[in-house]
Amino acid sequence: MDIIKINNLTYSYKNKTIFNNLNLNIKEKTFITLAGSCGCGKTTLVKILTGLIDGNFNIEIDKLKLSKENIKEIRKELGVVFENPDNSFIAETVEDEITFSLENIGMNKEEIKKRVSKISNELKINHLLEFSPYSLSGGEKQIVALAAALVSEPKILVLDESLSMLDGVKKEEIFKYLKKLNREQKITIINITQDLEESIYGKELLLINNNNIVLYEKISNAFNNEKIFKECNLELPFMALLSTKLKYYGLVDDIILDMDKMVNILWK
Amino acid sequence: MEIKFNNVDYSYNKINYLEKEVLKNINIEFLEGKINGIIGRSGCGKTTLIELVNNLLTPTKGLIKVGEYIIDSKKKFENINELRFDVSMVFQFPEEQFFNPTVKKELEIILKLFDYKLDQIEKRIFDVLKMVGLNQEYLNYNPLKLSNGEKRKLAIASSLIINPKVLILDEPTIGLDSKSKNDLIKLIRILKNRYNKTIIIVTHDIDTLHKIADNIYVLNDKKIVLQGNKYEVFKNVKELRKYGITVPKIIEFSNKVLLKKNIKIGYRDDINDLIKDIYRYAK
Repeated sequence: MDIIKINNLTYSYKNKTIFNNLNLNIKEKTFITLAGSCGCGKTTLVKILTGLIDGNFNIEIDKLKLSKENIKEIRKELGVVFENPDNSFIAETVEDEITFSLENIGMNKEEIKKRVSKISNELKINHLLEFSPYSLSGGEKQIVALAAALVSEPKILVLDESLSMLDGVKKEEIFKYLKKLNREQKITIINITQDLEESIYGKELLLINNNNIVLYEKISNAFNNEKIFKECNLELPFMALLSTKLKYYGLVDDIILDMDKMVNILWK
Repeated sequence: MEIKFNNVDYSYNKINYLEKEVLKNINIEFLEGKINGIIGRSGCGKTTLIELVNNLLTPTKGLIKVGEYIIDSKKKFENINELRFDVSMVFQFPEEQFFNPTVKKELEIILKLFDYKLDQIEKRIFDVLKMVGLNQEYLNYNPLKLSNGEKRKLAIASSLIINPKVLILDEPTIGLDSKSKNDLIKLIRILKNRYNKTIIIVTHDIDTLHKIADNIYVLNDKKIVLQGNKYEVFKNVKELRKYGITVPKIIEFSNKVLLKKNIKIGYRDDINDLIKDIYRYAK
């Protein structure tokens, strides 16, 4: 089943065409990485989906047509995290920031408490709850913004370059957590990024270039054509690049994304 | 330009109960005319450390020597303008430093601030835009309407325009696509090699940093825990993981080959060199 259906989306901004008859369906429960070079319209797409850009679009999200009447319902199921968390913070403390959306829908105090302690345990931000979100570091802010989006338990999570400031080990942890969330809680995750290294954690890869979808593949088959990525100004993940080059020299036959497997194949 | 920290401490909110000590007893010296990288887990005080260099923050204890200037925690620092003329900083989010309607005005105002002669201003703007790879068309654009890569270039241009000796970059590769990232890498190399600038980069983009850095400083729990040549630093895989840092993929690969197959293929900066090594050793 498709949780997001975009039909014939056409949108231009100041005479610049951003989408021209874009058709895109996103499967329920998938973990998809959406990539494309700067200015390809990734963030515009998120803004359209969340109703931040007005217009008459033929888009269906979780069986609801995207329209002014439905936008409130849609936003309940759609958790969005943007790149610069400063722009979305409104509360004085991290805890208030996380509970804001729950208080807004009138959830009772007991349940709010339970949810906050659950999410802050899972994302390991217990020690930050009493601080002002503005006093945190970039990476911490991004995790808080993620917590604020996940606390209302949305069906769809959209990340717009929202984990770009995390350091290596933390990033691994968070992506493993997202993978688990996707597997166990069946949350649909759409990760928008330019860092294709992140795509390895997902199930599918979608590339947009020059107003068009140029690639929509399962991750295991996504990196067979290096040229597409060059045209999109995107760097292949390290293992995909290594495989591509080794393939050229006849040292391996396929794209191998797992480093252990690669070492074992090269040195049998 | 010499940059040296002498027993430096820094705490936020020193005077009230929310005091938060971020840096403790920092003693480092950045290499002149080289690319210095600072890494560490998010929230460990990397940005605080560099903000001390151009006196956006003043240390709560200790001394910082920046060229001829001495920033002393005990005294009010008088030469802020002169210092910032030599040490220029590009912030994490470039849009936060733009406040003019056009690219031209954005650059002009900095020169006026630093008392440049009017007849030199135009030429200087022309030169600096060329240096970062933006053409003359951009002069009348609104800075906030540029793409991420272009914003970053403009932010660097506005730092370079006063011809500083030291350039500090806070997370410069965030939000850049691979072409913009490669442009940035080239620009940083040129700044080092041709213009002999001292460059300090704070980043968690380890793979990019590995391509360009000479020296690496690792910050953890208020202290510098590792420092030195990048290969020396990245050798300590387990220790770095403890500090929240993963090693560059290209180093991880060499380590894995050594660990699993006991074959030493060496550390490389460039993937093409790694391929040559694999070709040689895997046959």
